[in-house]
Amino acid sequence: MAQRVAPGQFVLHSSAVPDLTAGTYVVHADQSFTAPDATSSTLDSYIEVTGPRYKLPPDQVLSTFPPNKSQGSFSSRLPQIVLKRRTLPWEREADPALAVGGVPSGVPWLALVVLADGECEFLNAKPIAQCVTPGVVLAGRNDTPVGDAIVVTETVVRKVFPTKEELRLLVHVREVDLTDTDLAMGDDDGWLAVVLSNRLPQQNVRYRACLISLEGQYNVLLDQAEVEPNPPAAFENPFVYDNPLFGIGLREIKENTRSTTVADGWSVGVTRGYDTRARNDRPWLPPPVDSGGGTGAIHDVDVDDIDPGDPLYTFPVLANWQFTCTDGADFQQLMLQLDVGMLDTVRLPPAGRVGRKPAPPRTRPLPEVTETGHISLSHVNRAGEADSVWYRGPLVPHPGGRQEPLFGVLPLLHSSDQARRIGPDGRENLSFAAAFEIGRLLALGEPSVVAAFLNWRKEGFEQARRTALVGTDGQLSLEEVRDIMSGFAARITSRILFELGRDGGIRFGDIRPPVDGGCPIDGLDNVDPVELIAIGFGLPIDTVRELIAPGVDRPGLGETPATRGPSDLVNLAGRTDVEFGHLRNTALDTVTTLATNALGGSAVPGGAPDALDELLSEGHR
Amino acid sequence: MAPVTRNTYLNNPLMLRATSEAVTLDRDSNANKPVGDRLPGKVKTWLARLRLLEGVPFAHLVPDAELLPLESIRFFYLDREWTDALVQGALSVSTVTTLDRQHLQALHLQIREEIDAEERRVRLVGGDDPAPAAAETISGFLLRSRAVSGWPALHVRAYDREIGRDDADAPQAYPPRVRVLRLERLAPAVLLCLFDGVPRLVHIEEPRQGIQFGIDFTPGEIGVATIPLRDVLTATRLDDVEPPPAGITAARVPFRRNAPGVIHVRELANRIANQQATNVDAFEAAGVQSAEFAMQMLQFPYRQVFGDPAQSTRPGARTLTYDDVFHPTVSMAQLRRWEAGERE
Repeated sequence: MAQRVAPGQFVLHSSAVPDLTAGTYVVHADQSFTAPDATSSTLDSYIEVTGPRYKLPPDQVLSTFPPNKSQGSFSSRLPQIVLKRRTLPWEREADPALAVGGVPSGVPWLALVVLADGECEFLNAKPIAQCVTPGVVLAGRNDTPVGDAIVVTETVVRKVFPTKEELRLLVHVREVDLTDTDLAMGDDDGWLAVVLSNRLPQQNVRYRACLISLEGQYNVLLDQAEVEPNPPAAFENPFVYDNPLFGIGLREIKENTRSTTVADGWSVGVTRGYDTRARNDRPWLPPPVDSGGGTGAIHDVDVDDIDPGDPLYTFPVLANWQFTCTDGADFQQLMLQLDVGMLDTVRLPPAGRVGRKPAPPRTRPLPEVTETGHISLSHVNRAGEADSVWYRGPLVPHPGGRQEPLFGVLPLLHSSDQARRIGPDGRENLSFAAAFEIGRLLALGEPSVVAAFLNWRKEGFEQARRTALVGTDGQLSLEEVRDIMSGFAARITSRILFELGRDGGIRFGDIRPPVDGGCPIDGLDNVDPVELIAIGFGLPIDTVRELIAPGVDRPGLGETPATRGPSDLVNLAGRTDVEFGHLRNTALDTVTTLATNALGGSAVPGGAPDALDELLSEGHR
Repeated sequence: MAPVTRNTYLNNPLMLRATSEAVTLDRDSNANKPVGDRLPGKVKTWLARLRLLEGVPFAHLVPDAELLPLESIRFFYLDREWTDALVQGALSVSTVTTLDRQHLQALHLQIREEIDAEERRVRLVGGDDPAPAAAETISGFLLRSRAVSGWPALHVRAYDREIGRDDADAPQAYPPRVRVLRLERLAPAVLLCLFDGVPRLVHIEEPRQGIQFGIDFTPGEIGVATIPLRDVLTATRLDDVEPPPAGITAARVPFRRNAPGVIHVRELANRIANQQATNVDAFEAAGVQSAEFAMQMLQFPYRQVFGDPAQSTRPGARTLTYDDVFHPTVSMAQLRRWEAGERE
């Protein structure tokens, strides 16, 4: 398949209907021949197309919106579930009658319904026979022995479930680029099926979103619904039920408990203000399930009690999650209604309008804020007197400058009192003093940072001071400050080391290579390799020479470069002693002879004239 | 020769000279080191974070709740003098003697340069490696809104010039982009953002949580909601099409009768199909199909643009002014005299 989708883009498709929906099929093969007397036999092969029915494989859900167990302002967003397999919503027929001539109808069998507290009874892990409305029989193979289900009244179906004609519009296929992690979210082929809900969550209500199967119960859905002539009415009550019986019960619960919202009233469920009907007429209905404070479950109250006599329907739930819709406003509205200003803006109370109740009087006066961002705060000064001072935080309404160095020195505050100022009206301005103080306190809370800083300062200073002292030493000794000379050796050593180590220790000469070259080996180095080969193989040397390079004069000998550093100084000194012994002896002999001769007066006369004699004679001339 | 005591040594003027010389020597040796190599990393980072007001109590930033009321955004400049005083307070902790103070005073300029370079490195994004440079003016905003608590991980971007369409995307390494020095929630509903410079354009964007579908409620009117219509062939919003098509560019959302917040999908589809400019009949079968319906219901992350309203590229959109609030009315020289306690 050619690459159709660029990263960051996606393509929407209305459906991905498989050629066969789930079920058992017979492949009937029949041959006919035109030749006379030819016979043929037919062949029937049975195949079964399977698919999820009561339970969705967990890896099939790619994402849900709103996320599971999330809280947020979802009131303008339609809940949705994204499925990995694009054909999944069309793999079964919601109603076999829809498929004309065995061709899949393209009507999805899945719907996403969003139910508030008290609108359904959630059945967790029930035998699949209890997961559909009694009387509905689903033929064919089932994928799991137990499944989840919801029990809802017909009223809920009528008010909240999608209608037959809406069902198709709420399911579509999305094609994305696999490399786009934002959109593909780890899918394997880049094709996703999306099921939308038709219900907008409303604020301060907990919801359970259920991906339900409509298989065999398609006709429970409304054919079409009426349009609300007065749209605000759709938001007056976020719940399906508001009948009097229900209302009385709720009120009693609310009065008896601390709960503040309708939803809480449901979860608490301590008192029942109304008669529970005998359940004998519906023996198949399971006992109410306590799902631990979950959404959509009514503790001690089952759906049957809410609206007695209303037919009940059970739908298998393939996937479900819960979320709470908090505030009503959406992001855009919040942003557009923001009060924008610089930090010195103080919002004045809205002007009273004719016909409206005036705003309640302020409990305290508006703060005194100057255009520079300073604000007047009450304060108790050091004398214990109540006072008011100016303060301005680091966030200011106008761009400011900064203290620059004066003659190379950047002024530094040493105590907060140095930063106290008097404002033009005589009140003290504590802005920078407060900044200094809070900085000091924050640093005190970080002993390790203070220690590191102190250490850095100490090391730098000590090194600098040592350098300065060594430079002063000579003058100190001139002044006959002698006893400090006891430390002279130490100081001079450190001075020498300091000088030696200067500029990366350049005075030490080249750094010794990590590996020394080897010593030449007799018989291997400084030997003509040809000769070596000749000797080694017992061949005449001329023959070898001819073989290797006929008619060429041999150049020099191969050489192994060998440098030897002074590896063992003590040893070397010892050897020098031995090797230069004779030289020393010779010198000693010569000196002795010369001295003897001189003492004997036989130095010049008698001897052959040497260079010194020549020099002397030249000097005389 | 008189015996020389330790005190003579310590009180010797030459010794004192060596000590004060050491202060200068240490200053010079630090000044010769490149910026970034002077302070130990831990100290440098902590001071830079302090400079960006980390750990400073909120009451010190906003001394009165009236300055940051509910549902408000307040832009500001960061007062460098204030943060310098803050750092000086932190540095003063280790000074005990006069010599300590003299030494610190000598090093102060070098330390400040070091923190100026480091404050850009506190929050590095995507391989950004700022070279040491002179400290810029820092500006920013405080946002106190339910938008902060309800939408964690808001996207904030700032540019030093207009960058084209309000809904245009700019890459991370785009030069006009102003670096964000700090972006943090100080409280569940309070967001602090600091920029390295003064932007002309600020975007605050809803976090991207995949593709969403939904409607736009009209603020203040319960149950009144619309969806912007799109041409399904080009995926362009009708209010962006030139020339503007006849008829509606946004459809009112109908609801199911007597049902709590349930959209009447069929009727909405009819209303979409009634606007010919959406081209729903030209694509796939006649009438609205589910892909076309999904396209009409798409909701993209909302982006609030703060900038010069005259530059807005979305006609009719309410743009919040950023420039207007950034006009200084009191000069800094005046302010400085004020700080110094001089009367006008």
